[in-house]
Amino acid sequence: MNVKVESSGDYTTIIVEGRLDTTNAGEFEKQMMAVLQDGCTRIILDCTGLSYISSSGLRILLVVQKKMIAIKGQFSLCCLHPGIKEIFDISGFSTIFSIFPDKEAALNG
Amino acid sequence: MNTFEEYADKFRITCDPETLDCCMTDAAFSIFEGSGLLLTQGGNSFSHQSEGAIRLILTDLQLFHDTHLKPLSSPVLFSFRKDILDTGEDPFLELWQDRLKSDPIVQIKTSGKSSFQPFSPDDPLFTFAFTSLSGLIGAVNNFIGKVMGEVILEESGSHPFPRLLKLVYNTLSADQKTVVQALEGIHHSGIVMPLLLVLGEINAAEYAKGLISLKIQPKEFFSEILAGVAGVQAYSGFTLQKPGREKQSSDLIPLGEGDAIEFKSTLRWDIRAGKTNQVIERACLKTISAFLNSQGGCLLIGVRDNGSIEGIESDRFANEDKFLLHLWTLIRSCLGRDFSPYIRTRLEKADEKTICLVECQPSTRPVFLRQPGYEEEMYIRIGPSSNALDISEALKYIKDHFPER
Repeated sequence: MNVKVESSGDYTTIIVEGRLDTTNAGEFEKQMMAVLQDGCTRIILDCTGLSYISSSGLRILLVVQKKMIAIKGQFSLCCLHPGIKEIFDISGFSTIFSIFPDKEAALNG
Repeated sequence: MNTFEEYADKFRITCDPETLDCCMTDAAFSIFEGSGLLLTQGGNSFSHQSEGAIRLILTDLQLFHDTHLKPLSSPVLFSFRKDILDTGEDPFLELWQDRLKSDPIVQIKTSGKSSFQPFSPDDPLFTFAFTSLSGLIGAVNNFIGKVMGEVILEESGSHPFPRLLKLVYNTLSADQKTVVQALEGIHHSGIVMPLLLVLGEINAAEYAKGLISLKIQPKEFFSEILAGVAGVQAYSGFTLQKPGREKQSSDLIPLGEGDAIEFKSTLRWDIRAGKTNQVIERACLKTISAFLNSQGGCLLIGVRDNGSIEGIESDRFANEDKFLLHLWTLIRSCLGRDFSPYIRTRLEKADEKTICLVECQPSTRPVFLRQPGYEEEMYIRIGPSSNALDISEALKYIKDHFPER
C-alpha cells in the first residue's frame, strides 16, 4: 500500500494505492490522523489505485468520516474501482460516505 | 397456482414405511408401497431415472414419515416438481418481476442503489457482513462474466442483468428449478443467491452468510439454513447426475480447442502419408489420458484443428462399429480397462459426415499411457495442449491431485 498526501488551497487529496487491509491499516490510520490534526476541513480520498479494502480499512474511513462530521468538515471518496464501489453499494456503505466518480465531481460536490 | 412455500405448507403424505421399496419400472426407478406405486398428492408416481434420487426419497420417507417432513427434504422437492412444474406451470415465472424487484443483488446491479440498511460499525456483525458480501459480489461478477461469454443479448435499453438471470433460469432442469424455488420460498433468498448456489458458483456457507449479511435471515438461523441447503444439495446431487441434454458437437466446435476441448482429424489415418500411423493414434490417447488426469473434457475425432469437418470416414474403417471397436480397444489396452467408466463415446452427424465425441470425466486415480513401442508416460492438460510429465512432476502431481482414500 502507498499513501500520498497533496495539499492545495482549501482541500487535501489523499491518494491511496494497493491493498488496504489489516496488515497496513494502522499505518494508514496514522497518516489519516496526521492530516486531520493539521486542521484540514476538506479531504478527498482518491481511490484510483486502491485494489482491495478490507473491513479494517473501512473502519478507518468511518472514523475519519465521524471526525469530519464533528468539525463540520467534508470527507469525499472518488475514483473507486467498480468492484469496490459495488461492495460499498451492496453493503449499504455508499449511503454513509459521499462517493464521486472522479476528483472534479468530488471538488464540486 | 401454488408457490413452493404454499405447496410445502400443505404437503402431507401417509404411508407405511415398513412396506416401502424401490423397484425398477421401464427405464426408471419407482417407490412402491406394498404392491402399488406410491403417489404424490397430485397423483404422480415417485419415479426418477436416478436410482440414487429414488433411494434418497425412500429413506427420507422411512426416517420422517411420522413427523412433519421438512420443507427442503427430498419427498417435498420431488413432489413439487411432479405436481406443479411438470404440468407446465411455473409459479416462479409468474412472480418473477416481484422477485426481481425485491432481490438485493438485482437492485444493486440494475440501479446501483440498495434499500438495504448496513450494519452499524458498532454491531458485532459489521466486519462479518462486509467480508462475506465482498466474496458474494466477486462470485456474482464471475458468474456474469461467464454467462456474458456464452450468450449474445439483443440490444435493449434496460440493464442486461435481469435478462441474463431469466436466460440462465430457463436453461435449468426441472429439478434445478425446483431447488431454486424451494430455497427462495423457505429462506426468502430472492433469485440470484439460490441460482448461484444451484449452479455451484457459491457454496452452502457463502449462501447462508450472504442471507445473514443482507439481514434476510437472523444469524441464529445460520445452522438451520445450512441444514436446509444440505437437504436440497443431497437431492440435486442425485438428480443432476443425468443432465437433460448431452453436449452436442455443434455446441462444442464453435468454442474451439481449449482446456476441455480438443479436435483430431482422424483416429489412425495419416492424411499426409496416406496410411495408418501409430503416432496419430497416440495423439488421441494422449488427449484422453490428459483429460482423465485433469478436469475432464471432450475429444472430437473427425474435426480439423480449424473446426471444419473431416469426418471419421477418412479413417477408412469398414463401418462405424469397427471404428468404435478400434477406439475402445486402444483405450482399454493402452490406458486400462478400469478407466472405461470415465469415458463415453458417441457418434454424431455433421455436414453429412460423422464425428466421434469422446467425453471424459476426471478420474479419481492417475492414468498412465502404456502403448507398445513407447515408454510409459503420464499426461495432463495444460490449456489447449496435453503435456507429458517427467517422473518427479508426475509424483508431485499424483500426490497433489489423487489423495489416497
